[in-house]
Amino acid sequence: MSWFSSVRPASPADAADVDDIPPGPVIALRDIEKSYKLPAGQSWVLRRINIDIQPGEFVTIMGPSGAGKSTLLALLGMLDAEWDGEYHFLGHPVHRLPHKERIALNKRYIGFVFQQYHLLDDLTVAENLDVPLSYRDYRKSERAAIVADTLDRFQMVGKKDLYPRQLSGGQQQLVGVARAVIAKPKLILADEPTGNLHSSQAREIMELFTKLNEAGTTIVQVTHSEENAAYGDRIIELKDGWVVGERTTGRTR
Amino acid sequence: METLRQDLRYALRTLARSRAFAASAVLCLALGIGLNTAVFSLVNAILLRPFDFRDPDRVVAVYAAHPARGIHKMDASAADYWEWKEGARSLADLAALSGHSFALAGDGAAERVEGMYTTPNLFAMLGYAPALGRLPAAGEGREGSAPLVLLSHALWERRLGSDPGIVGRAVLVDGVPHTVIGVMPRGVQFPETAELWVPSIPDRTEPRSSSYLWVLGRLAPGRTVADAQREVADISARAAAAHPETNRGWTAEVMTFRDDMVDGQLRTLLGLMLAAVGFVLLIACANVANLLLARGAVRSRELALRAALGAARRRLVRQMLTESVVVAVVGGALGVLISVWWLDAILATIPERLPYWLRVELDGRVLAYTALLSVGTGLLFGMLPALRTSRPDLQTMLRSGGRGETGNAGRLRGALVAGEIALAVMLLTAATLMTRGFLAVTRADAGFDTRGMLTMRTFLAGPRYDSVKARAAYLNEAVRRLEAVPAVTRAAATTAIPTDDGGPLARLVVDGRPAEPGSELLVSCFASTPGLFDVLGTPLLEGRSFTAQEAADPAAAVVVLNRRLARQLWPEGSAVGHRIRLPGVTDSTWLTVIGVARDLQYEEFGEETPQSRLQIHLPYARMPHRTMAILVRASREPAAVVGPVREAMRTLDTTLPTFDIRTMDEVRAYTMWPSRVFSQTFNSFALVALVLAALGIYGVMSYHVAQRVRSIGVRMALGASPGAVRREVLRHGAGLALAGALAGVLGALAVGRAMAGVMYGVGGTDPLTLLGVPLVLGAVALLACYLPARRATRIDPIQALRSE
Repeated sequence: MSWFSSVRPASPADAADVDDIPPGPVIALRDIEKSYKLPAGQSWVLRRINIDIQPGEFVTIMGPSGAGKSTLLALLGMLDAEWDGEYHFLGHPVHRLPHKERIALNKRYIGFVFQQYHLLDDLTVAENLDVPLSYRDYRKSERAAIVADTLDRFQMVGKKDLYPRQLSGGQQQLVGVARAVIAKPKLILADEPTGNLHSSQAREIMELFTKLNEAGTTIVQVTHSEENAAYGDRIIELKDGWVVGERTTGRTR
Repeated sequence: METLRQDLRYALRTLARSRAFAASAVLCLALGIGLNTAVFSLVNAILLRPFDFRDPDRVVAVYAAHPARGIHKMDASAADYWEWKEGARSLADLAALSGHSFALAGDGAAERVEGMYTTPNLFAMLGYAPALGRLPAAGEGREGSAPLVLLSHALWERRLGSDPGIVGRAVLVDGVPHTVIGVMPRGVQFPETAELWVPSIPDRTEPRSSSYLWVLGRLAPGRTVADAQREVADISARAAAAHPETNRGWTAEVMTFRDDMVDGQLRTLLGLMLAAVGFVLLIACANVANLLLARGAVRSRELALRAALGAARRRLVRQMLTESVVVAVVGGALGVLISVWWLDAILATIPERLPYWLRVELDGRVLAYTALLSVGTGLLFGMLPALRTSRPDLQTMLRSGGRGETGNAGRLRGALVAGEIALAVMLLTAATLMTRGFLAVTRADAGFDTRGMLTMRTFLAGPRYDSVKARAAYLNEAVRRLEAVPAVTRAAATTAIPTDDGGPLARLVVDGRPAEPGSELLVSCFASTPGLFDVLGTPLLEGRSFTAQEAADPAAAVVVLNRRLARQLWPEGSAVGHRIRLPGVTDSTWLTVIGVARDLQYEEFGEETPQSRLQIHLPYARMPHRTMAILVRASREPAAVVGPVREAMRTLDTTLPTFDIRTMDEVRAYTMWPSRVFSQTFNSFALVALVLAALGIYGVMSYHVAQRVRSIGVRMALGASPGAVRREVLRHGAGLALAGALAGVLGALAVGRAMAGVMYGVGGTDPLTLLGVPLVLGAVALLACYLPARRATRIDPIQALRSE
């Protein structure tokens, strides 16, 4: 049994709190466009994107390199402010919000998982988990309790004092996922979460996402892998910045 | 050799490619090495460069001393000189000198010229030969013999037009024709700035209490300073036994001429300056080492490749050290220019003429020092980064994609910056203490109002003023004419300008209190015409001052004491009416105290002695000196009355020089020059240190941010607000600053202790300084962190994460 195959599913209390979610989609994009001005002319990255993502959905964005997948994910995570169109997140009109309020939404509702894990090299596993909490209004004692609980839930108690360089890639990504969910986000955005992992580790990470999704967390992932996409409910295909297709996976819950 | 050439070539090429790095490193080091070169030039000129007379290390000074009273380096009496000269076998020869301001009259107005009365053997003993004419022969200069004079080369050129036939002719010195016997070689102005020398043999029958001779000797072959010390101390002990009334408790002390010229305080200051510029250089080294560490992180790929291609570690280290040394040598060359500029700037602020032997120049020794320092500096700052970077951890690099440094390197960089801040705190403390000392001098109370006063000096030269009556009459007339000048309200003549001069010491005997001979109180004596206290604007606290008749009467038996002396002698009641005696100054006459004056600051601030604080004012005729100061109080800006005052003095007697005409404020500013110059010097060091330390922390924090672009991007993606990012960067910088400041305060305590003896009016552990300096430096450090912190908040998380 691998180190992280026994991760406990989140308890109902740990799952995204749905009480304060207004009715309607978590994400509603209307005519979203993004482009760069180049000497040779306008270079389009996203064209007229219209997408709705409902609470509890597990959506996969696919497409060839340069299709605009990661750009779209960064836009959804409010890391990118330079775009046109309308973006409603949990009823908040993101396109009208100033930078500060976008950061506040990100902080409150969104967790990120990256392909390169992006753990902080000079922090231990426990300290890495503490980082998102430190940016939110938790007291120190609360943070310690949540980190301890997460370490326990992800079966990482024995690794809590290790540094990222002392972990394998799969273990690092497990920490990455744990860090993404520790602040109980409503939405997890995962950019090629298994891109650097071998197949068995990838499978286990995807199963972990499934468990989190089943516990109520909305997930949007970017991947090249049909196999990983099959863990979700719906696939949105992008090409040259356009949405060129949309299909369901036939996943049964 | 070929490898060295190759390393050099490669180093130059690498540096040419990294111009920003090379320029920053060279500039940092140029400042550090430049200041070190400048200070070493001073140390070289003052302590190391041999004097230009024969066997300078064998020339010694012999002084009287009274250890029980803490009196050292006291001038000797004529009797002391003769006893030492005739009794000390360890001294091959002994000469006696006394300084004097001569009035040299020629075709134009009389000119005041610094010179010396000296025994005829002085220059022969030193080993100087004249450029023209001859040195005085033994026996020349006896009382009653024909007056002779020896001229300096500069005076001969300036006043006598380099007349080759001057030898044998007479010039008017102090109103008396003196026959010129020779001209000294160009540049010789022994002992410091003298321009003429008059042979004079001290009369051994002069009173033993009259001490005015500076005695120099040459050690006999094979004898040491300690031998001479033992011998003259024995001779002084015998004199004390034979003449207890004047010599009890007095002994003699011998020191090399160098030790005599350079006192302990100056040595301490030079030591502090060397330490200060050493700190500046260390700060510069830390900056450059940090730059190299940062470059090392960037170059680790190249070095790993070289290692993989078979380069031995030694080879990599040598190559990197070659680069460091090249940078340091270029910095050193630029530093030499900086040192010239700095020395010119500092020396230009010294208002006094420097001793002729003090030549501050970049001689071979200084240049060799700079060269060694440059190479040493290159090795110092280069070694650690070279050792670290030359051992690339291939595995870590491959795993990290060669993206940055390890935690150890970061800690090392942090430690270097904290060290810089600690050194800067110490330097800034030294500079602040010096400045506070200087300010204390400027604010010190002289005991009188210095505003609206003009001071000048005159010398009553020539046989016309041989009689006390003539001198008193001249001074009374001078005062009368000066007081007739419009805008002059009062004038007085006195033997000493307060805050600038001291007075002769005298033993004080109080009527009715017999004291054992030799154990009497020592006091300072000043003489003046009436009106001194009016000019100073300090009415007497009790009693009255002298009348015009008393001031002109050599038999006037009256005296005014200062408050401190009066209280010390008669703490319970009034001093007025009591009688005192000053053996050696006013013979055995009892003098009646007629008044008590305020305490005045005689001697320069910082040079006061217990004796200079106990003051006795005598009527002029009781101590009728020829060199006199004249003080004038004006009802308007004193500089505006200089012209009419000078004219009044000139028309009174055209043969007498009136010199050193300055306002009292100028006198005070002038006497404060050592405090001012040292304060400016340390401030310049501290400013450079502060700028370097600020650049150091700025560089490290910029690098810290650059290294953490990804980490900051991740944090922002995880919800960190710009404020949180800024706080994190500032917190890191503040941690370094705090560690450095704490270490610096500990060091500053040691600095303060070392400086306690060289500052006026401020303690070495001045709490305001010890608290204020770290706070100021902390603020500067945070300011230096602010820009990188602001830059960190502008990191685009998408770009940061993508650049992976």
